[in-house]
Amino acid sequence: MSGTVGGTAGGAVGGTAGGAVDGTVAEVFRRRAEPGAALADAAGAIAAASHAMAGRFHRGGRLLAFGSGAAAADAQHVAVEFVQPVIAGRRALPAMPLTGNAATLTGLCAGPGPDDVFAHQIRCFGGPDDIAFGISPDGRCGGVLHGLRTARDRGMLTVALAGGDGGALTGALTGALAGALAGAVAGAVDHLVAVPSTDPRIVKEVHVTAYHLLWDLVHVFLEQPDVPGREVVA
Amino acid sequence: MTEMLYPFLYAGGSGLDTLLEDVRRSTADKANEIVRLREAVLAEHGEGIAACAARMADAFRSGGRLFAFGNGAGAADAQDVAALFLNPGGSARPLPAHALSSDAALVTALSDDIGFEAVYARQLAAFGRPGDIALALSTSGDSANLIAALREASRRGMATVGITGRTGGRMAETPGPTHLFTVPSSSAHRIQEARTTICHALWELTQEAL
Repeated sequence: MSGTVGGTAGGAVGGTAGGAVDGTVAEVFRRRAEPGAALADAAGAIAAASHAMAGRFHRGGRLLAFGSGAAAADAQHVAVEFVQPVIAGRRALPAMPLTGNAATLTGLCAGPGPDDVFAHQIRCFGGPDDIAFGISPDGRCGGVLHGLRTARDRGMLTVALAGGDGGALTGALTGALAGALAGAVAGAVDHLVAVPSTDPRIVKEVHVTAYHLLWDLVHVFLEQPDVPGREVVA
Repeated sequence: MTEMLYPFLYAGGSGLDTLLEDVRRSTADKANEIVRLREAVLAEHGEGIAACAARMADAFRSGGRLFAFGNGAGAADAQDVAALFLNPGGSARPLPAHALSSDAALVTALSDDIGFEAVYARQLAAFGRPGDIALALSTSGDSANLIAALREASRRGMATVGITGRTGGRMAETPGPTHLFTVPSSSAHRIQEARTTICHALWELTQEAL
């Protein structure tokens, strides 16, 4: 585990033609290094979350993934990972995005409103063995928060990927407070991975790695006889 | 396969605590792997990303639009890219962008009537104009429907951009897209993660240029 990443990316393309613009590219990439490396600090939370998720799949549960804006695309990406695994031989696991149907989404936004857009679907689909997987890069999405609370009330396992105000995080990623609403998310979920960046695009990039790792580790635990069924304290 | 990826599982006598510790270590290793991969992408493609963003900014300035497409995770990522350009939030400038994977009615109609290879090429034939931008996302570079779409886009005078992994697959064959970014990794997941960064860098640099 190493957090020492900064500095190496900066000068990689220096001295080439159009150096001013290249300098900007290097700057864009340089900003990714620290939050990307910090995911290593969340390894414990990721291990605990994937173990708990494996337990739910083992019991026949399904994963319901949701998020707004860019995170809606992540919800669909997560569902594809589980249903159609990229590694041959891994079995399909039941995962559904709650973001795939424009008729449902616009109907719910026009009716009960955006805060109910995922909670409504969770009330219809969710059972106590299922997993609610909510994604909110700034930790401020009311729809995601209500979805997670509704899921928790129904006894579902709740997992959230969030991000936000790095100032409040002070480098500790798991269960930590990432701004006001991410704090609320932390109170509403069983497992939280929060990325210490206020740039929603950087947070998203680290989220993609986080859910790839979660998918991978769910299979690692499922392939261990009697591991999924055992309880573990995060 | 699992044995190859996680040899520690088979080292013998692993209790849950040991397993969790091994999983934590493996997770930390992979987190550091993507950090190094981004550095490699910058070294290899930094100039190309800047040039591509300048070209995209020119296209938007002239009234061009962005069409993004991919399969599976690439379809979801195409929708993410389109949403970012179209509705970036804050003070960033909204730009016309559309994901060709977002309409299940159209994608299934084209698959059923013509074949899966036509799902994006046919849409570009209908929507695309000279000066537009086609962005193809494929970890292998071998997806026949993306190759067909890039060729259709070139025929129509669109700028073409491809993001793939490994050696670029069929997408790297001549004539390839105007801008091709191959992510030097053998892991589809790490390729997708670096690809997301490339898309975000293209967006940010396009915004700066406009």
